[in-house]
Amino acid sequence: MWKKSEDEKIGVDASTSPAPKRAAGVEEPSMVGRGIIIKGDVTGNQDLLIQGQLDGTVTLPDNEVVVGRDGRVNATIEARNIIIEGTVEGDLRGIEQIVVKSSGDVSGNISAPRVGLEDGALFKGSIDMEPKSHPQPKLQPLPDDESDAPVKDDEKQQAIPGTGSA
Amino acid sequence: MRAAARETSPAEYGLSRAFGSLIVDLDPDKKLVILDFGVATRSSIEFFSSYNCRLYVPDAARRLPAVRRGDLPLDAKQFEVLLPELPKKEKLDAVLCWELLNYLEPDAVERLGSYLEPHLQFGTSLMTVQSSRGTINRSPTVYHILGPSKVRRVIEDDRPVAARTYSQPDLFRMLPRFEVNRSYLLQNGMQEYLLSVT
Repeated sequence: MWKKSEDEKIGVDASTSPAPKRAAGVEEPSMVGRGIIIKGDVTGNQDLLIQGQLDGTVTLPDNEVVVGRDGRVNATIEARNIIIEGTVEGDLRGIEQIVVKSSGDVSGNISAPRVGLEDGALFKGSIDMEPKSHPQPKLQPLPDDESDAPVKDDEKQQAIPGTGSA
Repeated sequence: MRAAARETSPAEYGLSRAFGSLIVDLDPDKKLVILDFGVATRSSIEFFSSYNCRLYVPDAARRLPAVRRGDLPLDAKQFEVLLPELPKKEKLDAVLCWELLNYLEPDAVERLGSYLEPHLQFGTSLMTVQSSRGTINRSPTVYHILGPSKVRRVIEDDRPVAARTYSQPDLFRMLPRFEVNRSYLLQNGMQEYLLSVT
């Protein structure tokens, strides 16, 4: 189990990043340290913290993968939960959730039921979201004179449906 | 640093009626495919996370200043690097251009039209925000989607630079598959257009 100081160091926000649900007897998370470079496929049944460089694939569908601030990953990652604080070039598939922290930089395609992106994070790619529990209701058009938003500079607006002229 | 820049950025809240109209027109019962030329923000992702959707974010607004020469609008060749590679058969339900067109030369807007062409279908919507004053902020405004129609605009560099402004006939000519569905003139001199493939 990560010590509290380690959690703070990598900045995992417990409010958005659920703690790993480890079964009794499951080993502690593994770590790819800052000076380590791994090329190849990573599989297993442990949570993983990457602070070094990893090129290849990471497949841990029952576990959590954290790419720490110093982590540099060029890989496809599949995991139950994925938290990105470093740099990732590759596709991410989260069984439950993916969170890109403000220091994160992701270039690739993200697929998960729940996706979170903190402001300041850099993202380029696609996000595939399939919410299962919150179907979106059909919205109604906003009346032209509605003004319940905290409008600062848009008080006067002209709507010209259909014609496009103003 | 990225965080410091955000803290000092002027921000304002307001409405984007074109975006609101676009959202209302989307079919919530189908898998939506949306191309967003804006910046992926926390609130925007949260907003779209309630939809069953695939969101393409080429991060064009943030990358644009690094691609252009000085403050000049992008030509078609420069713009090319900001266009994401979409799967061949992918059909778009919506394209969010925000202020992008103000930073593009006419040949780049035409390139946008030809790029979108194979991915359009009946009902595809495109929203764009046009300057009607001939100038635009040096950096594209970052739009945080707070809800249907409601946005927070964050301006990271508000020094004015010359903007490309396009009239309706210009848009019809450069984006021939689209027709203007709605138009909204904002007090701040920006005009929002919602275009649709009919």
